[in-house]
Amino acid sequence: MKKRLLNCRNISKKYGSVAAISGLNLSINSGEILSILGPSGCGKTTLLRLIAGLDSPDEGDITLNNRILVDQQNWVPPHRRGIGMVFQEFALFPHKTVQENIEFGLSALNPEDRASRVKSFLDLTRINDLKQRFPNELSGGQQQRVALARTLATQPDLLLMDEPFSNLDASLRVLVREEVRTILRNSDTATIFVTHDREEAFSISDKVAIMLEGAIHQIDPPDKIYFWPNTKDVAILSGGCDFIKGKIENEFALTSIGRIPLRVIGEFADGTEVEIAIRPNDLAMTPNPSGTSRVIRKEFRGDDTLFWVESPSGEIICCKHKIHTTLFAGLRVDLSPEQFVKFNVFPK
Amino acid sequence: MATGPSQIYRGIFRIPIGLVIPCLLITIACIIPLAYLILKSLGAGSDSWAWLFRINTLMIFWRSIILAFSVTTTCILIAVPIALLITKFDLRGKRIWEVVTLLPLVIPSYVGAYLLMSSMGPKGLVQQTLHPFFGIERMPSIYGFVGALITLSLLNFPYVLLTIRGTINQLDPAQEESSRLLGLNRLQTLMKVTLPQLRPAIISGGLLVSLYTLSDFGAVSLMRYKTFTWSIYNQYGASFDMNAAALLSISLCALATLIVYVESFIRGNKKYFNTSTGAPRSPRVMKLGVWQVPSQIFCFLITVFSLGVPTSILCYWLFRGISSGESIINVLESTGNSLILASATSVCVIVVVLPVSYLVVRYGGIFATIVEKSCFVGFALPSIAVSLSLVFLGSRIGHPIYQSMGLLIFACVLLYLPTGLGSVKSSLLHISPRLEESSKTLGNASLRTYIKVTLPLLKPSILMGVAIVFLVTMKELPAVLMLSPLDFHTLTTDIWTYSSEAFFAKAAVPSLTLLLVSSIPLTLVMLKSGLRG
Repeated sequence: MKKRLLNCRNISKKYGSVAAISGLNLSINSGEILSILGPSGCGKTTLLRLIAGLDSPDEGDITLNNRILVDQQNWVPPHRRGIGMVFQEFALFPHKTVQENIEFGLSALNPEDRASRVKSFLDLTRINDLKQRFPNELSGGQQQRVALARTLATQPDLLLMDEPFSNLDASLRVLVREEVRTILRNSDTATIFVTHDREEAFSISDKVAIMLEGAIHQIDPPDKIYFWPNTKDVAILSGGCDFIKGKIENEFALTSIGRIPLRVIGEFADGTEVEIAIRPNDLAMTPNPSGTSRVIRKEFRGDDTLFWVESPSGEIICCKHKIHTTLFAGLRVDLSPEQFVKFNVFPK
Repeated sequence: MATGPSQIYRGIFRIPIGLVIPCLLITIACIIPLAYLILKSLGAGSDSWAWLFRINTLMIFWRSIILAFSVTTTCILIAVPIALLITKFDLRGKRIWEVVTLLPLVIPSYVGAYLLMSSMGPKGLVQQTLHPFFGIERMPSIYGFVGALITLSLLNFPYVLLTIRGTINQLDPAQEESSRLLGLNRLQTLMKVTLPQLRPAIISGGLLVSLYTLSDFGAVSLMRYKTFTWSIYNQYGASFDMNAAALLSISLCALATLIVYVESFIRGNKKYFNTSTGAPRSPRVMKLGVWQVPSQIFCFLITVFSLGVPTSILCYWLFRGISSGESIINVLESTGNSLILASATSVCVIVVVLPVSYLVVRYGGIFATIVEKSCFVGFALPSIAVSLSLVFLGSRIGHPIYQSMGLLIFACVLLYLPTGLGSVKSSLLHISPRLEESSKTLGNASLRTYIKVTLPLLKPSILMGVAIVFLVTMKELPAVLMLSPLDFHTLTTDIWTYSSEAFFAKAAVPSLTLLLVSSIPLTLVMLKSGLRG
């Protein structure tokens, strides 16, 4: 049974008249990696700053290990919270070497303990041979590892990471992501990290929290977020998706492209008008000269090809296909659900 | 939801008390002279007011404004081409030009005026040289507007140069590159992308120059161009008519404040952090081609007139004095006094600037704005007005304040606080707050974070601030004339005494000493920053 570590209750924060966060609730268990996924401007970074104590909420309270960090009466300053933070721009001290950067948070330790702590985190992040360098002599990936080592070396109860991979180029990103994941697993540090990249969120974390307009809309393991989105917004954020109109009939929906099997019907009665979420992988396309749908655009993307298909009712659906040579814009096709795929349905 | 006291706590009182109290004290100290001056002029009788609106006094207004405007325009016309040549073009020997074009700052305006007078005056050196050949009896008069304009323009243009150079190296080269890719040629890019971005810097440099011109006392007095400062000093010296002098000072302050306001209105108030990651690439320089020679000539001429001619005349007077058996006065004591004053002032300025800059940049808000604005009192208040107010105040309180070293240092700190603040503040603006936040999340309290992270990063700008404040305090004249303890001589008062009585040869030794001593810290700092860059 995992222990509840951080608890944010009913947090609100305004900047002037703009509400950055409104009535937000969030919790994380020890050892867990949680990512907060949301579009830019949804309040993700503000939330991290409130948890770290770099800003204080207008309302609500935050506890860590049942200790109050902030509520209407109390406020623990950031340096006494035991929360580490890795910034988007890494924020390495430019006037200190890698080693000095890592030593920075360890002034309470005696020299021997400090040296061995620095050594073990230099090893953990594999930057031992960089320790005499200054930050401006490091590549982006190396800076990332130094920033991580510097924060982890203080052995925080909770680690916060603000878009930690956005400053790395695409080829490096996947590699560093895997590395960071391994490091975090090995050090068993509970981590909240913020991103707008869903692939990043899904691949690194135990749980994903979908954040929109200052509130958490759903918090679940990645696969559940993807396959069981609570709302249309969560469906859109957790993966590309289009919506088509339909009518409930038993466990199916009647749409312009035919009968579609549904995952849950929930409270919908037969005949209810609904919208069905369709992911790019969900439909199979079969070329058919007398087909009812028509390919209107295609985009070659290497591993697969994206097709934009117009349904008989004029709805545009995006479909992914492994084969790209036989299909082309203007071609008539039939769309049918892939085998075993079930669809999510939302009120209209 | 409860939003009562805790809301307020997180609003205004989120600023640590250790920062609030010093800043509050600084604010009060800064406001005292202005407040006293206002009180004093409110007490002025109706005849003082009538006197103020006489045609004579209105002419003083007019002369001051015209001079400030002309000097500012001339300085901008000199400084902008030089700045662009040094930073944007492949000007040969740019490292030398970079240092040499800043050095005129070292020459105080009254030294410049005295040298111009002694050489170009009706019976000056030039006339004496030309007389045997051409029989010229008198040179056209250089006194008045022309003399003041030449002196102040040639000595003050480096201020514009400094503000431009501060900005030009921070511009993102990517913007100029985008402009080129959008189809503009290099000249168009310079005019449409680079110059508009330099506009704030040019305007604030212009502001500096116009305020220095308004508050200049030495040059206009020696050139007998009757502006505000000259009248205030006369009113104070001749009749000791306190109310009239206070009224004049307040008018001058109002004029200066108006200029500051106009400047901030034109420039707007923008905050920016250096958000780009990685080291900024150095911008590409453009080829001058056939313009290399004319550009060199331009820089050369400006340097000759602003630096070469003054120093050679100074040396000439020195040798002439020595050869004609003129007693070379002992400047050791004056030098010592000047050094003490300048060092004490620059240290005090930095001590005051550190908390204020941190408050202004990191916290902002109404309190910070009030503190910052009050620190700029010395910027808008000409030194003669500050000194006058402190003379009134000091004589009112008497011993141990009046004619004490402490009061003189206080006046200088007040006057040059804005200079130091500008340097440190702009550097703090470019230190990402993320660094301090990192330190806090790594377990360091605010003060410790400031000492371990912020201060080391601020060091270059603190040194620069110390060097500049040291330099300008060395040159300060009116405050020393009016506030110094009895029998307290500095290099500036020596120069003033001798040159106003036309003992040109006697003034040469303290002048040269002043130039040498005050340029040492500036040169050191510039060399250091040059080596690193």
